[in-house]
Amino acid sequence: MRWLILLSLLFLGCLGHQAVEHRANLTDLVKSNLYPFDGYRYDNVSVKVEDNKIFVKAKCSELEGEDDYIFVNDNGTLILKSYCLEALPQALKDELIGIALSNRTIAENANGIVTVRRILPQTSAKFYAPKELFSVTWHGEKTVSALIDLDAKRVVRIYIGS
Amino acid sequence: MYLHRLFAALILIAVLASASAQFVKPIPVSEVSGATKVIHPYKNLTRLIIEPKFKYVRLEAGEETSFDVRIKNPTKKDVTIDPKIVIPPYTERVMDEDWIKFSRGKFVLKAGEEATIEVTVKVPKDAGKGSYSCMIAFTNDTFPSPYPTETPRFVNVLHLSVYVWIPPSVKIYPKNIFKYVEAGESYIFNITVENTGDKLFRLDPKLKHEEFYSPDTNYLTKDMVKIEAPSTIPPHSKVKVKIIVNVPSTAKGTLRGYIDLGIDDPGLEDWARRVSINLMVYEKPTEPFVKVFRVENASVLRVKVGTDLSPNFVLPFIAVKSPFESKADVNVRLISPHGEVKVRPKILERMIVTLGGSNPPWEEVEGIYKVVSVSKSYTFEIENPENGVWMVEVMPKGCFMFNVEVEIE
Repeated sequence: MRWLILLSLLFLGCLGHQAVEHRANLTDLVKSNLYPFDGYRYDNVSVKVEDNKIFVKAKCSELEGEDDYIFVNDNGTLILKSYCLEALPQALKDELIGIALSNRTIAENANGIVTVRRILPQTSAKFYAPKELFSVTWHGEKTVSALIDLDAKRVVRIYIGS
Repeated sequence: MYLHRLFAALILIAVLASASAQFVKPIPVSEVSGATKVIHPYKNLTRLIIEPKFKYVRLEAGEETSFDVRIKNPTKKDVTIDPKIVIPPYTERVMDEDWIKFSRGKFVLKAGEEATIEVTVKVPKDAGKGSYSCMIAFTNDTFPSPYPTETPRFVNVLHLSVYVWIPPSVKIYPKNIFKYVEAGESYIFNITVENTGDKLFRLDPKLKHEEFYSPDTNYLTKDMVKIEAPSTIPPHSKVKVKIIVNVPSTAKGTLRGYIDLGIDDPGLEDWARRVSINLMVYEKPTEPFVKVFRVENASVLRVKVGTDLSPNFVLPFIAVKSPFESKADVNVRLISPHGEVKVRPKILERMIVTLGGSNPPWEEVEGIYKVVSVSKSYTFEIENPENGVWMVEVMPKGCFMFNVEVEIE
């Protein structure tokens, strides 16, 4: 009987070790799939796993704001489902707001709280070109947004929603 | 009697009808419908539907790629398809006809049918870096020209652009510096230059600037910027470039410029060798804002100071909510006619949180809570305040705007 209990404990211990190892591998995999801004490095990354979803919060001490990612673990393949990347230099955010407001439609409709977010190339490809762009959005009575190409310093797409 | 009246009425109607028939001029149908005249001088040209009409490919020398072109014949007659390459006269770099091959040669595309041709682009190993362009004409149809021309304008064409590139070995980060700075202060920016290749590259950084059409733009000059950098980047290594900027005490607006790192990596485009610098100069107040008011026979005095602004506040200029919006705070002192009043204020912290749903389609933020605004307010309440002159002093921390409300009951 004692042997049986000992064997069971050893087996459970192995399973636990495998789970910890799997979790560590997954965390490393997730960390290698993050996209900090312009060569900056994240100093603080928290990873939370719930079922097949992986929630990531990442911060860079030199930048204002936080980057959020949600991945889906599809049988070992990580799929980026959602992201909200706001860790940017404040002066860049203001520069981008200035570029957005240089567009007449945006200037006439912008109202409310403004957010500045980074858009990854895989998303940008659907709307403009496969390169990093920026979204400046006013959350007021209407949602008013400008998609900006920083290299060209111009608004490339506009969205006005309800 | 009634018969007479009826007869008279019938005669009157007949006379009126005849008169109206004489005076109303018939209107031609074209004037009523407003039909548009159509001028179509090239009506007899055979026009096919070519998809795509424009194609861009990026290849290294020696590489090849293929893509499909769909040709639809919407006309009522059969058309002979005979793909050929047309080199425009204005192109700087000329591609050889050997670069492009078609999966099908000359064939007849029947009326109403469509066909697919695979186009293969192969760049020779000795091709130089740069942009090459040509047109692929699928039929011999050309637009008529009123004067003799050596370059016919083909009707059914695809515009092809081939960019021959060299993958860069050197990475530079960060490439953009955006920072709020104070006049009279010095700032150090460290740039990492990483050589991932097997060759040694030279580094020769210089301060430059591009014209920027903004009324508040000033340019960084050599006396403001000092650059410390090694002269080479060994293979598989990283080096630091230190940029020291001394912001003059008289500086205003935005100081702009860029450091051309002068790296001789042939894979790096001119614009990719740069670190752009954008410094927004602001003046931090050293003295607090003071609001003076008089209290007489009041039962309650309420003073509210906060960093919260109305969500519907229109932002007429850029920096109204910055810098460091989330860290925005205020130091408040309340001074009665007999000195500072130490009252514990009521603190209200307000957050606005967004979810995905009402965002633009390019923000893929579903399932993420995001705090988009944080504000703080302090409310001081004093019962039976003493009569006389009171003051509230406010020193802002990390914000460009705050509000003050004084309520005397």
